[in-house]
Amino acid sequence: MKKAFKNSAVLCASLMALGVLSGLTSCGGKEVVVIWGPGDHEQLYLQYAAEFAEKNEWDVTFEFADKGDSGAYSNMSIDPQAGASVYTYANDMLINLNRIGALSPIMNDELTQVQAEHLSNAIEAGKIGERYFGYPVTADNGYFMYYNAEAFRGTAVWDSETDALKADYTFRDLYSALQSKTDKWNKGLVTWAAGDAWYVSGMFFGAGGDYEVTYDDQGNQSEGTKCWFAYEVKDGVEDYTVGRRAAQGFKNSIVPGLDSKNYLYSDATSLNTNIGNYLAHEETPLAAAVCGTWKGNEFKNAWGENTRAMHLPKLEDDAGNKFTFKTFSGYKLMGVNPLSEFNLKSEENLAMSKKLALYLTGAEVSIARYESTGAGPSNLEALKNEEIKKDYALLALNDQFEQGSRVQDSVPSNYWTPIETFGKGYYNYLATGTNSASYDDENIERTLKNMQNEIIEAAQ
Amino acid sequence: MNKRYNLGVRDTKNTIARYKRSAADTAIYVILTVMMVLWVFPFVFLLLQSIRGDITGPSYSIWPKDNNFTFQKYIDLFNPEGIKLSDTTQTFHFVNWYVNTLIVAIIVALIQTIIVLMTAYALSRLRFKGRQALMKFMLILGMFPGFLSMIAIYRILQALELSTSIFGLILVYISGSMTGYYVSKGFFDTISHSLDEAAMIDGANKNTIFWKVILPLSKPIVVNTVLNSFIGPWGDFMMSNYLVGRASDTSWTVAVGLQSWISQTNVPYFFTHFCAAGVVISLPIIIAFFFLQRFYVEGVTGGAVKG
Amino acid sequence: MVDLEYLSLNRFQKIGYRFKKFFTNIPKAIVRKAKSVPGFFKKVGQKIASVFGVVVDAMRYGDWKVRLSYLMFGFGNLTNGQVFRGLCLLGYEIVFILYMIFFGGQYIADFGTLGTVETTVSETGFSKVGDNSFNILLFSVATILIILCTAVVWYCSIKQAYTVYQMKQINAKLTSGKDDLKNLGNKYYHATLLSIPTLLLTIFTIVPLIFMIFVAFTNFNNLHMPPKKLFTWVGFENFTTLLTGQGIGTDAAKFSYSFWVVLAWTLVWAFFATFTNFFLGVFVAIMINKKGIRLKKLWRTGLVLTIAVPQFISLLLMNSMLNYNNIDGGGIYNAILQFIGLPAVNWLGDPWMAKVTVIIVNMWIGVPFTVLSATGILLNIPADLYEAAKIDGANPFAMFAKITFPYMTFVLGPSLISTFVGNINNFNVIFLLTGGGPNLDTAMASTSGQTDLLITWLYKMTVNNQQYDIASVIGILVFIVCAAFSLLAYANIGSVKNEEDFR
Repeated sequence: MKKAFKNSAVLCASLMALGVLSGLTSCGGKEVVVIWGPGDHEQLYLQYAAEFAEKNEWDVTFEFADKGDSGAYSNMSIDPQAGASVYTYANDMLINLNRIGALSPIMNDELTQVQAEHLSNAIEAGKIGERYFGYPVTADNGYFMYYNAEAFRGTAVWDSETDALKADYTFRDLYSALQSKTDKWNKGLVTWAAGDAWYVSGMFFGAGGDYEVTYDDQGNQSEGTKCWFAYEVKDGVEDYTVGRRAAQGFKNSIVPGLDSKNYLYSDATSLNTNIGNYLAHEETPLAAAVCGTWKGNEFKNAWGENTRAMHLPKLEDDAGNKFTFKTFSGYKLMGVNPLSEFNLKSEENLAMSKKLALYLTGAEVSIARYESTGAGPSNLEALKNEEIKKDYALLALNDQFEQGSRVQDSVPSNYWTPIETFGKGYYNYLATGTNSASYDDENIERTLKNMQNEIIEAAQ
Repeated sequence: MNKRYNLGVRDTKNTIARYKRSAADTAIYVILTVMMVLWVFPFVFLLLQSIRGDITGPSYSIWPKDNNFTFQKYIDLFNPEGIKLSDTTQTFHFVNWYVNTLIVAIIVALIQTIIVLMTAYALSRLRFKGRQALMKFMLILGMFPGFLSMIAIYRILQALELSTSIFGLILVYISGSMTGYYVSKGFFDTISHSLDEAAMIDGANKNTIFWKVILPLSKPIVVNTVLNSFIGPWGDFMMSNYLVGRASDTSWTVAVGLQSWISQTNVPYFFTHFCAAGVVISLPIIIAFFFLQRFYVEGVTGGAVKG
Repeated sequence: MVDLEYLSLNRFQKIGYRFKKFFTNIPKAIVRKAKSVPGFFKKVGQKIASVFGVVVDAMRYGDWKVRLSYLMFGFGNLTNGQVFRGLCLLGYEIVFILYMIFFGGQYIADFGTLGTVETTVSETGFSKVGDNSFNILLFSVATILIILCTAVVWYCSIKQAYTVYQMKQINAKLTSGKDDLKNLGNKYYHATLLSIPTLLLTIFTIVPLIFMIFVAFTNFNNLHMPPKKLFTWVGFENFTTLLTGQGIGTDAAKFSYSFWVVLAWTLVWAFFATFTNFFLGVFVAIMINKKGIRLKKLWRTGLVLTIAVPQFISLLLMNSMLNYNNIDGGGIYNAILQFIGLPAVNWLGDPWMAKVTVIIVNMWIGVPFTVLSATGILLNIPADLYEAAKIDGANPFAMFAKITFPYMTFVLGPSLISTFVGNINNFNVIFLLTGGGPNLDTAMASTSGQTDLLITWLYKMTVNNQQYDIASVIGILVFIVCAAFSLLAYANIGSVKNEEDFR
């Protein structure tokens, strides 16, 4: 009995010793500035950060960790104080990152410089209230159509003057063009990710839907989320014009291709695999795919001479009226975390981190970034680079931006899943007839309403 | 039963019985063969994917085109410079992952085995106040979803400055080992107490009895515990991703690395590497299993038979 | 039913009877448990009374050395010649005081509010970190444990001093420090064996666990993330939100709906996962071990592959093999189906099919385990049972039905309960295979999917969405579900009590 007590005493003593020890631990040596970004930027950032430190006689060492662009928030949220001092993130994480205090605003001279050097859309993407939190890195996030010229040349959808697809082509045109072929392209595939909310959103935007979330300077939502993907209330009546249009556009982009076996369904997880598998498939080769610039090299390698890219096809409702398929346009931003161990130490540290972020988003690094990873810069000076100007994927993206795009600023907190659920569910219905209680013509309005309400209600 | 002198009716009966039995046996062989195919097929598939040279992504065929086999994926894995493919710009260091996991597994196997055996021994053969309560407490502890507290564990490790190192990971793995005492305790329960008494008469204290008398008799359970604790770290994704997954890729474990290879961005380029790595990781464990299966079976059944 | 009647039943009726009894006993077991509660409290009360008795007696009857031990741990031992014990106790006190001053004190002081000082940001964006609710809660939990422990040591110190004093009175010999050390290898050997494991368990399991239980009563979520924001106590709000759908958040109804859907599927899953594995496993084990079947080792090794290959590899592989697409089927299984002329199946994309698929894949993972344990038991069935049956002229099927299967069920029955509980918490199969998806039901909360178990939902909620408060509530509810099943089982079966038989 006594020993049981004594035993617990030993236990506690060790516990406490650990506590005391941890309070006392501190280490010397150079201070460490941690940078987070996608793994393929590691060399680039370490190299240029070291160069920056040398130029500015900044006596620190740099560490890099691969968090992807999308992993910044989930990693930062565990403990901002253990997070990176400088990191890149996708702009849809802006509000969340600001909410946990992991973003420092861009001030005065720096802001002027950023505004002078970058695309205005990219700068706006980092804005909360009246303040700016993002040093723009890339402006290449959006989707457009890759296609193989060989597959469509000589068909009804081909414009021989421009040697490209006709400007107002539709998905239906692509399918029937493939059907009119007698060679292997007869079984050619067209894919767009109907199971991925990012892509499906474009249809709603094209149909006239949109969302609106307003934040004050503190990053708190100042008004309720607005969203009209399904209906707007007009004179007290729910008007489903937008929802019906989008749903019909969705249906007509898929159903003709389902019948002819030319449409290949993809969702967020299978898109990459599908492209990889069918790009050079012998029997059912990919003829066209909706995707972004990051796949530019892969298409080029597989299709060679015949690789083309342009804006998205037109969508059409049941009456045959065409409307635009818009793209989300997203931006990669660089943030400075004021709560990182290094930045908390002194004002100078924070100021230097900001300078580093400014440097890493400058023209020189932007061009180097393009050269090593193909990331399309937001830096105006870098955009003048000959190589970048000629990049066929970036050109196609700009083509699409002219057709129609929606800046992917802070989306409602519960945005992606309801739309993904709709896309997957509707596709399942179209392909197999299951779930008719939600998706047939009578019920689709109710389902769209559910989706819209979820986006609105779940927001804080 | 071998009454050979009783011929006639009995003999016919036997023939029928034998016939029936052989029919039953045939049915069993068929069922077992079908099952074996179903059970082993994924691993055959894994093996074939790892040596195919025609693609890098997940494939929908078993056999590569034109019998294009290659061991390039395996060579890539063990390139000390890391794996860098032309389509991607990121470099992955499989060798580091492998070594990290190996270090973790070896240390965990050692310490965890000791802890499990000590706990099991104390709970099985020593009688002290609070013993029942401790056992009940550990039973209750096992019913909480453990990873709920990952963030707290992370913060504690951070206070110890171990949050993203494999040593933090080791600490977390071995910290819960005590609760895995059950099977070993069942084993110790069955060892006769007269042994202890004899040793005690010879003047041995309990410490000596544990190390010199009981442990040498417990080879099966020791092997079983070592095997189990060695395998654990290879398969854990959740905790390792939470801790070392936050550091750069050279401090990852295989689970974290392989998960990243099969993520949607990397899978078109790394699926076959994933398969090769799967083979490389599984082989030692399979070999160990093959030789130590007897002990493993004893471990699995130990608790149940004796309960 | 009296014993005689029971004995006259045949085996099936006996099993049926026991089965029925298991369930009819449940209310009785609950009543029995409930009845034992007052007794338990009485016991605790007596214990507390006796502790107080010692504390009061020592003060009243002890000398000044004993009385000083109230403030200075181990003083009685030190001054009476038991230097080793005295130093241990005194050392503990010193470490404790240092700990409270330099570490624990600051946190425990804020435990009531979980912090009041907000993090501030200057005009230039430079931050000054205020109170961190997270650290306050976590380290308060640790400190509370340490304080409780100190109270025990304090009591121990008094009792020790008093005992030493009493022994001095009668001139009894005191144990020396050397004896104490020696006893660590003998009389107190359990303390030696268990102290380090317990310490590790406390730091990395118990403290975090208590922390998470406390979190269920706070608003620690993505809107209140320290160090930027403070979080604080909210009482039972999270529980009412989850169970009734009433709450401040507008998505409370969704959470509640998802909770019931996910809970129902979790139980259905656990049921099927447990019983499919059990029956198929026992069946296969019997086939492999049947007399006259050759290549036993081969069959077993084939099955053991799924145990030897780490689950994250086999499941991620399986995930890719089960791919589906609308053109040529997709993954290898669909390719095979199409090759033999069957339509491709959307294994993981259709909510109903996904549920069936995870149960089937779980059989692939789990049956080998059952086969292994069932094999061991089969070899243990007393041979004379079969001999007797043979003499009675029983055919193999009858022997299987009347001996083998009932015996297996009897022996493995208790472990089924723990398997069931294990399946409620079976993270790997669901998470690596479907990730909880698909979610085609717009009425569910966005974090949850249609194959999500409570445990995988929880994971996504904490790791991806930082909804620690609701997640903790679900964690507690998972615990209650598991505990309820285990308690019922153990109360009825009582196989735990058998351990003394071996002594």
